[in-house]
Formats: sequence, structure tokens, C-alpha cells
Amino acid sequence: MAFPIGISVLPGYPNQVGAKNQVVFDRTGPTSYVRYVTGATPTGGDIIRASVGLNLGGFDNMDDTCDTTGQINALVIMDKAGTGNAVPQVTIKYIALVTATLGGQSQTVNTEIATGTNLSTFSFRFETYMV
Amino acid sequence: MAFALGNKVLPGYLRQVGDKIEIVFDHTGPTSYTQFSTSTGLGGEVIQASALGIGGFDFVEVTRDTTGQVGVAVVMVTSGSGNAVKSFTLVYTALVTATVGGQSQTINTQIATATNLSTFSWRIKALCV
Repeated sequence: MAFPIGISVLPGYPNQVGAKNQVVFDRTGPTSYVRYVTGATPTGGDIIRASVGLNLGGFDNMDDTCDTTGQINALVIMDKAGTGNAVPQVTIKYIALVTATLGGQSQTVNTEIATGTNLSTFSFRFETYMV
Repeated sequence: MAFALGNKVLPGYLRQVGDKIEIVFDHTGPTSYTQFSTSTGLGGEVIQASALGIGGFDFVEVTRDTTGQVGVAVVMVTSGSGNAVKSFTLVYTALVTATVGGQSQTINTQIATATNLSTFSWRIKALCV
């Protein structure tokens, strides 16, 4: 199925909840995924910035789902959190839920999506509280 | 443990949260599970918004079952274009290798077809319209 590329915010959001902005949005993945590498300065994964498409200042929290086909799970990594702070961006790490060819690359169940995978035809829903 | 079958909404819900509706409920599984197919989007256990008296789901979160033996993923099959959905699908996964619900299960794989999940309960939180 073809999805709108990038971020599609659902109607009625941002939803004002007390002093915070609750946002639910759909997002397609990148055309060529790069695997996430942990470390003092993590690299890779799929970065979502608060200022791009959402037009807000930062993320307090984010919850994820698997994609609409049930083949890929999205894991939110708040790699700039840890001091009680809102973060300007989060990183999404994608995990295969099947052993199959997805997005043009071979995937193995319960492992990270392969580098070079085209995730632009997969859509993931997120819920977040933002500032 | 025996649970109330179907959906049991917690006290105080439905709750207005800004312009949206939040609901938290316990859910027992089906008496005979059908595996979800990623190629067709069919199978799994479909939860309809109308069964809860609401119009649609914006977002859904779910826990493991009360015994920690069965995990569950939410698949919003008809989402993807910034739309609320009329239903979502629960896909159950074994967290143990054992006989569960009358069928043999393998850890980290989908619950077997025909498994009786009616004695298992999951807590679900949904943001609704």
C-alpha cells in the first residue's frame, strides 16, 4: 500500500493535555535504512526531529507500534534523554518480525532491519507528549 | 484465574483528555485463536471501536497478559494516512515454550491456531475519537 511520505498528523492533534501537547502521527520509514550503532554518540537508525513535520520544541515521551502489516516493529530510543529533559529528537530502530525479504533486503526475525532496506512503503504510528 | 470475558472497562473511563477520549480496559482473548497473516492482514483478533461504544482508535497500547506468558502486538492494519481506524488487530506471541491454552507454543513465535486464550487477560489503553 502507498502511504503519504513522511509525517501525517492525525486530525485533532496537537491535543492540549494540561501544559503538554499530545500528538499522534503516522510516519513512513526511510528509503535506505542505516542500522543503529550504540555508543557515546550513537549513529544510524531513523531520526525524528520535533521541529520537522511536528513543529514543536521537543519530546517528553513517545510510544510506538509495529507497522500496518505486522512485519516490522519500531523501537523508540531517546538517546538524548536521561536528565529529566525533553529531547529535540528521537531515534527509531526497526526490528524484523518475520524472516523474509522486506524493502528489498533479506531480514531475520527478531533482528534489526538490514542496512539499505527501503522502509518508505511501511507506515508506523506513534503517540507522543511534546513541549 | 477466571476473568470476565470480553472487554471490561476500568472505573472512570471513558475519560476526556483534551479533545480526545481515553479508555483503559481488560480484554480476554478468543476461545480459538486464528494466526495473523502478514501477507493478507487477516486473522489475529480484531477489536472493533463500536464494541466499546466509540467511533475509532487513534492509538492503542497493550501489556503482556497477567501471567507473563503471552505477549501481544497491536497492528493497525488500516492506518498509515493520518487516519483514525475503526478497528485494530491483536497478534499474540508466546513468551514461553510450553503448552498454553491447550496448544504447544514456541517462545517468540505467534500463538498457535486454535489456542484457547479466553482464560488470559491483557490490559489495553486506547486513545479514541
